[in-house]
Amino acid sequence: MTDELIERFRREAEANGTTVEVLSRDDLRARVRDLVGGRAALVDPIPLLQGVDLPAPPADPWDAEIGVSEAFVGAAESGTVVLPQRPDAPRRTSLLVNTHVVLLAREALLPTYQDAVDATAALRPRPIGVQFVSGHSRSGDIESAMIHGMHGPAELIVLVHP
Amino acid sequence: MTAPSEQGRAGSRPSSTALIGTERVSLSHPEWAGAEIPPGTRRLPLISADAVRRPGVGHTRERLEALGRERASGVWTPEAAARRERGAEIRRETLKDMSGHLDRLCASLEANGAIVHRVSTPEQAREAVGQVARDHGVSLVAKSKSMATEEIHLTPYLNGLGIDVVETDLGEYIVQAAGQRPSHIVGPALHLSKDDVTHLFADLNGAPVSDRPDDLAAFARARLRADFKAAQMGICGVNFAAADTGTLVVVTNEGNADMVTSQPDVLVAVMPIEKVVPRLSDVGVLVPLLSDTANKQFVTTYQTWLSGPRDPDAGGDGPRELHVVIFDNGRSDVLGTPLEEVLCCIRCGNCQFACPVFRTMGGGHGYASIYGGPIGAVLSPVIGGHSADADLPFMSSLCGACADACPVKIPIPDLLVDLRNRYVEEHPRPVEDAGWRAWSLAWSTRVGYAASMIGARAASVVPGGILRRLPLVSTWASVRSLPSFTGAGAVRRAARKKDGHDR
Repeated sequence: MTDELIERFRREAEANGTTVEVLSRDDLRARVRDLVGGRAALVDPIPLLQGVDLPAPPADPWDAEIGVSEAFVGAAESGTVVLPQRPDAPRRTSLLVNTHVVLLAREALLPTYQDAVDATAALRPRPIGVQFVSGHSRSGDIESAMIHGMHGPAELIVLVHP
Repeated sequence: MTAPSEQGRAGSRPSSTALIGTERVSLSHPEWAGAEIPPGTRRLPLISADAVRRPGVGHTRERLEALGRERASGVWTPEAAARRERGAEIRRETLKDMSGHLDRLCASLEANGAIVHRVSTPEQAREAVGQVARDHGVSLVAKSKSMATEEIHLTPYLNGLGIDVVETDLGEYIVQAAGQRPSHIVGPALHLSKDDVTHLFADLNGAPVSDRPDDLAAFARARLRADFKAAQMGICGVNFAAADTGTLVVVTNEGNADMVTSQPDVLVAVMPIEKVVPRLSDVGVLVPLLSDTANKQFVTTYQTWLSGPRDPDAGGDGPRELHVVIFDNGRSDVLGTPLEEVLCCIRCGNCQFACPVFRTMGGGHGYASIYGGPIGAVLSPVIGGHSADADLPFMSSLCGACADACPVKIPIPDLLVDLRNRYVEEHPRPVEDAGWRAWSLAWSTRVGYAASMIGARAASVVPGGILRRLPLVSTWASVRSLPSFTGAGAVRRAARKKDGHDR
């Protein structure tokens, strides 16, 4: 049942140009470390990543190349991840970087977009902002040609874990 | 070019990096495609004829027609049709108690810590935004796409206060740099070709640029990034405003609204009254509906929810101050009348893609109003002080493609006819009326009809060049093609023959 949901999420997210990887918790920690590598990174405090050796954030967040966030919920139907904005999970982590990595727990994956909207609307205390993300930044404003990474990240990677 | 790093240095008053070089722009456009249409210059028949004849319009028309075929606007899958029904219901529910929903919205916004400016006129809306900018000593504003701000002519007003305002949506940035106004609700630059954009960006750069779309976008990205970083204030539009929670929802594919609403310290959201929806859960229906009809996506890449300012002591990002300007501009006057349907519009632009008149003119500039296309031909004459747009409802063939394409089932052709009736009542044309009556009388008799056919056959042998010079005909034909009189009456004759009574 849950795996069907993951497969649907994967299908829809990949159709949006998102990379989806399903990993065990240990593999996920190693994968994040590899993805960040030596790059300037903005990493939100995520319990699952505690103890992973990651570089300190750059002095100017606008210099960051990669960001790591944790999704509150996901929607399989639309390949969406939902990122509430909090003081320790600022919007810039998902926005100022070239590559954005999102951790999504299996139990947080919901079937429909409406489910994700309703779960997020019920969140208390209400966050000052929320970002629903369904792929990398794009534009079609020059003769409808697909442009990758217009203002936000050019690459979105979602790591699904049990 | 000034290096972006020099912008926004502490103590300086940052100005726009993205707008550097606009004085070098050589891309020309007719006056009626400009950012502001000079008052007194608007003559719709002349402008629309100009738009159809404009050099390069054929290329745009072909692209729009290809897009139209690809999108198949008006064809609804069972799933999309169900969503359309639900969306139409939500919008009618909103209309039924517009002022109640607005009161609840304002109360929720204020409870969240936002500062609400509920105003009636565009002047008051502009002044409210200008006052916020002045209070914070703002010199640079990063703005995400908003037709509402076009409607209230916000950017020229802020420029007049000495404030740089930069459009950050790629299409809006292109038309801003070109000194034009958006030609489509969701595709502001769709009337411009890749070559046009290449020339424009080369002018901005003061040196040639690559013509690959990715490179053109990278050029804009680098310049706009400097402005996102330096801007002290953001201005955004609103797609949906949930009355129950005071949450504003903005959709984009580029992520520019996310930048504008999270990086500058002050944010002003600008919306007309009809953006309100009863419940936040309604966006679960309306966002997919809008994304599908605007851009053939299930949902756009980003939906940004804004519920309030950040606690300045807590860190993170987001605006310290969130202002919401809600303006009416004559909309409340149509509540309770058949024209209120226009306030259901969610600004997807699907009716524009579907419209043969819009495509033939190569976009919305030929409507000489802020909102073009079918919905613009209804909305523009309705909103306050736009009596100059009263003749826009005639810019339609009433083919009905717009109604089929509308995600919230606005009966656009019916509203166009209502507005035409209103126009004719307010602008009597006795000579024309007499002409129609004479024609009606003539064709009511066999003799009159036969005489008109003899006249038409005579006209068919007169060269067009001479016909066009006849009095009355010359006035009518100055902005129109003369119909062909060849074969006048042939259809009727063929029909009679088929029915078995020749002659």
